[in-house]
Amino acid sequence: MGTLQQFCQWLNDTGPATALRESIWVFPIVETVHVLAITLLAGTIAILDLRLLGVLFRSERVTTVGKQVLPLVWTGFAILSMSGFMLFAAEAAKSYSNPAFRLKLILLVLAALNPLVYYRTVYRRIAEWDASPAIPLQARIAGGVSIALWTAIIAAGRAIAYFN
Amino acid sequence: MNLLSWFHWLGHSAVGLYMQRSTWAFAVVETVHLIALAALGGAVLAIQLTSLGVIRRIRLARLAAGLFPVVIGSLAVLVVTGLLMVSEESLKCYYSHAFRAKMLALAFAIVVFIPLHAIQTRDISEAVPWWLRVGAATSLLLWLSVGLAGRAIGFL
Repeated sequence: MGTLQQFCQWLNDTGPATALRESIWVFPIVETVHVLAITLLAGTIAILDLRLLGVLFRSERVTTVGKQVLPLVWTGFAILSMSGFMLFAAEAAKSYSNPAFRLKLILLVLAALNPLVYYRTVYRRIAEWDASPAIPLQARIAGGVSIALWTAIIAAGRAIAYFN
Repeated sequence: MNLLSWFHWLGHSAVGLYMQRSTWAFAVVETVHLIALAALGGAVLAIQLTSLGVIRRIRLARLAAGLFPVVIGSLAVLVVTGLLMVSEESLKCYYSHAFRAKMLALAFAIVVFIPLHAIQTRDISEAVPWWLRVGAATSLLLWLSVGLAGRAIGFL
């Protein structure tokens, strides 16, 4: 048994994780919160992505659209990561070998890397293209990749239950 | 044609039979439904939280107008994928309290959204009147009810 698998088994067998797994109502409530909080993260980050792609709010600055949606995105991120960790802990042993869960984690890492690259490169010159309708190709790619990744993350997340 | 016979018809239609026989169709349709839910929820949250004054970077009229295509587009996808899912288990839905509650909440959510959208896209002054805040909060609660009742269809 690998270290990661041992960790998953240990987490799975902790008191709180067991209680959550065996609960009648708490697990479905956490699951419902997780599903509905997707709107706060994926649904709002998509607005910024569509601005980068030049689909929405072409007359607004990119930074203005960012300031409008990013507080919601981060709120969604906080709720999703907490509820997501709870759901994972409750089924950690099963999740370890679940292909959809593994795919989702890889996609989440990519979804975290995408803005890191964006903010460290093309965003440094944001003053040059903030209000411009002609968004640099790299920023458009970041927007498109973000939409594609979050769509795939939702699909992979839904698929976890089909593989369990 | 009453409502029950319409559900019967949907369940026995070519689409319904396809959904019932296919192994993957329901899973795929449900996933698309969820993705469209994310888009609709994100747009509605952005509009109504701006109406409530939680975040006001973009003018409300511009935000509401700009996100309208997202609301309509995602709602269209939700209705089509929703109908496909109902066709897979039409009678179960017809008799499901959660499904009935969801349809009722959906009807209210749309009825409230239309006048709200008309007012929000007018260039009103910076201070949002109290009745528009009440409308925005009501809209959020109604859409949340749609989501909760939808989630409950699978449980009850």
